[in-house]
Amino acid sequence: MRFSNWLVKKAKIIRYRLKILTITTTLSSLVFVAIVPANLNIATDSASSQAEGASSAQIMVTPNETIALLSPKNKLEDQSVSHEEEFVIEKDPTEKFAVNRLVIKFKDGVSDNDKRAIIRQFGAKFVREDLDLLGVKVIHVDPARRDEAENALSADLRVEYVHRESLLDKLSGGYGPGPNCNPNDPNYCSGWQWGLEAIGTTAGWNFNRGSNTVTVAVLDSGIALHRDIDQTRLINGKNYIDNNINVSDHTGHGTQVASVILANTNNWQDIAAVNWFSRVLVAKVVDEDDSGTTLTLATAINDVVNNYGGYNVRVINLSVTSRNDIDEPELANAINNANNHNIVVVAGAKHGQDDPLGFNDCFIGFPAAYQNVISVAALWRAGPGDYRLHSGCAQTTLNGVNYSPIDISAPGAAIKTLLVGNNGENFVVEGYGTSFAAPFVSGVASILASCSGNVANDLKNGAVNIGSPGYDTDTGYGRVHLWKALVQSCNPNIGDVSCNGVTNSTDALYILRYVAGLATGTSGTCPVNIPNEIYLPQADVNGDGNVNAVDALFVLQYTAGVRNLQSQSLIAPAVDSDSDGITDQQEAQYSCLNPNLADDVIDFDQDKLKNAEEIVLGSNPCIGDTDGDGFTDYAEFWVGTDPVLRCGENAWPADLVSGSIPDSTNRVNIMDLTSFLAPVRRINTSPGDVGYDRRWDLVPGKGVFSKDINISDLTALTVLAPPMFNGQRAFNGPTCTP
Amino acid sequence: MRERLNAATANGLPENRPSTLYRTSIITRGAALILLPLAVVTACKNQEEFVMPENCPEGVHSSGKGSADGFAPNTLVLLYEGDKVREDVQAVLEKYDACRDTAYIRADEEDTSHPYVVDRENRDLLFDELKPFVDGGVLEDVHLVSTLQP
Repeated sequence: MRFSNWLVKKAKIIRYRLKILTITTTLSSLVFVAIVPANLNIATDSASSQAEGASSAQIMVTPNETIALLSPKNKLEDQSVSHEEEFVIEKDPTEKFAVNRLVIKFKDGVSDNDKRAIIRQFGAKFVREDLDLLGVKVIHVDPARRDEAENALSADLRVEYVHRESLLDKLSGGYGPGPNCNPNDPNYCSGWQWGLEAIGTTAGWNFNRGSNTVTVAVLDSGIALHRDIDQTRLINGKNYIDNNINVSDHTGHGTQVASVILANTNNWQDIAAVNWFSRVLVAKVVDEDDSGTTLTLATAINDVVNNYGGYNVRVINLSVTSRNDIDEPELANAINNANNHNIVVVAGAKHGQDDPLGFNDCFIGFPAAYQNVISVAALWRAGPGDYRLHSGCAQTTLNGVNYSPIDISAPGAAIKTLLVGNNGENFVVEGYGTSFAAPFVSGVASILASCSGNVANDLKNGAVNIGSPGYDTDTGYGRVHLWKALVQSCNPNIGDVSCNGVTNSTDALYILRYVAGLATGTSGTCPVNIPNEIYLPQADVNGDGNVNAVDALFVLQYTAGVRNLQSQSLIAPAVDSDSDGITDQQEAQYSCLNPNLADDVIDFDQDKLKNAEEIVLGSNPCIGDTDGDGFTDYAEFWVGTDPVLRCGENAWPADLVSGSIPDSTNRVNIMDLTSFLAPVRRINTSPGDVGYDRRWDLVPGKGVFSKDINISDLTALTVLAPPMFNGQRAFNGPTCTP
Repeated sequence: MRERLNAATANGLPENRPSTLYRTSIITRGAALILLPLAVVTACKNQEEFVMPENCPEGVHSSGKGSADGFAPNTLVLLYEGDKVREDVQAVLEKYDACRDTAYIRADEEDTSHPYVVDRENRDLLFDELKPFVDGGVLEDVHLVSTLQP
């Protein structure tokens, strides 16, 4: 789910839910204020205390609103979409809403079986990613049936509300329409540049968008100065066909290929490129009459390697291939020369689409066949998260000699590229084939080059598997992935949202606070103002472009030594049978958890925190009020106190002033009440106002008032009767006993 | 001899024996008298067998333009060490008016490739005549050059 969208929804939901709640509480407050003298010599009887306590409990626990523990035969997981599919949000024609998702809230008392039956009518599934704190579900629907489902569900009396999912921004702005789309290039924001999304740029750009100290050489048919070509990054090389410096592109191929790397990005025009800042050296080795040869190419490579040292060329992109399957020494020597100078050569495999032998049996071609070339196959997008081979010959045996197989795959179908027409028109056109897959890899390589010691290895190790696990002859190590490669090679502290140099369980808590709106995030630079701010680029721990509770879980598992954040894989013997992000070992620590039931959707103790979220918080997912202080784990999470400590300023929401003032320690008294007003006035404030502090927002939200901290909170402080006081009113009550 | 010894003594050398420098000098001069003529003879002989090939004039270079078979129609690459070719190879090159393409930039000093430009109608004839030199070890290899496809 998109983070900001989540926030919007959350805010709406809070407001909605708290209407009734706050009215109830407010009525109590009004009664309370009316009958209690201003001298605060409160003498409310236990019955009214209990009544107010009931109001409070209504805030914290809402039975039936969350999903109870389900038996295996009817668990919601049965209708959950896959991990990869759940993150793929498709846009409807308005480009404002997801065409394959709806947000739904069932009314209280609707059973889980009914919920499943309701959405099953439309073939919908619950999205497992949805770790909502407030009982709202996101369902995944067939795009063709979204509107039908929305209309029918709206009329269903068991449904409180249903609406389309708005498409706003992601962590770094991100892919898809919305006011915060970042980069803002129209084709990217319209969702047409699926290739960028597929290679993990949304999350990867948070770390690195390229550097102008690194140059990629694109040896192709030259360049035409399309309006969206970033000329500040363009370096004009030579024409090795005619031995001059005219690199005008007469075929368009070179411009299209280069634009994948060289398009001006975040300029409100046309397309975005893989990297935003790296320089691109463009040279001409092929022309409209196919006059380029392997000799031309070898000369170009050697010239770039030997004579362009000042440009720090680290990557050479070759979207060309020899017409003959012949190993010619000039090209081999040139490739070796580049490698000896620490330059990565990326080459598209021979297309093979028209080859009667088929992809498996047609020869990979030169230069892709050389061992020290990163050879690239092209992918197309068959559906959400479903990437398949589009083109690329995979045969590596030639005349009894074994050459190097496909190394990696990249988007190579319907790739948005730049093209200049015969009359100078500026077009955005789609490219197909390995020619357009190679620059995706080169773009990622150029970004990696600024921080990786071994770009070629990091490209391969950072790829996302396609098809059967492990290496595949047709797609190599998998889909090139900027984020994963960066994390593996350049960011050992992924998850360190506090910027203290280590990733630990505290970071998990901070992430969850951010997800709940209790902390802000920044994409700037470390350090940050912990705990009120987190460093966002480190927060997207699984690189899906979103920050949610799954990221917090991953950090927790990393801290426990059962997950490798760099590879995103569990470390043996850790097992996560239900793929809920919690290992079986973790689940075994709690009697109410079942390793075969997804705890990221289940709230066993019905305290409005999913089991998985409680594990991150350290509270007990089997007990609604882990420390038994009368405040549910969710309430403590909301105000920021410790759900496993009974007493003290940081343990109990109502004991706001504690520790250093006589008569105040572990006791709710006039000091706590005064602190609403002085020295800083907390009452009648909302987030952003001077004096606002969530610790005083005991009844979350505004209710019928204009400010979040209002009379309801004052009432809650003075009348609450947590069980640790044996039913006595908290205000002026006994001292808390741990 | 006495004067030489005195001169040596004046230069700080022992008075009662010839200097090491003096003895070395005599040996070197003797060897030079024998070896120098031999080297000259050898060099002259090499100059007779290996010659610098003719470089192509400006504007004449290898190209895949007009290729009908996937190979550059006007290019052959000869592999041999050094800059020169044996006279008999050069003779064949001259026979077909082949010239060395100076636009080629080699990878390093160990790169022994030397592209030659020849009229398209002579490319295969030249290839056929050069092949025996490969078989005979005079040339490392001779091959055509593939054209590129995007």
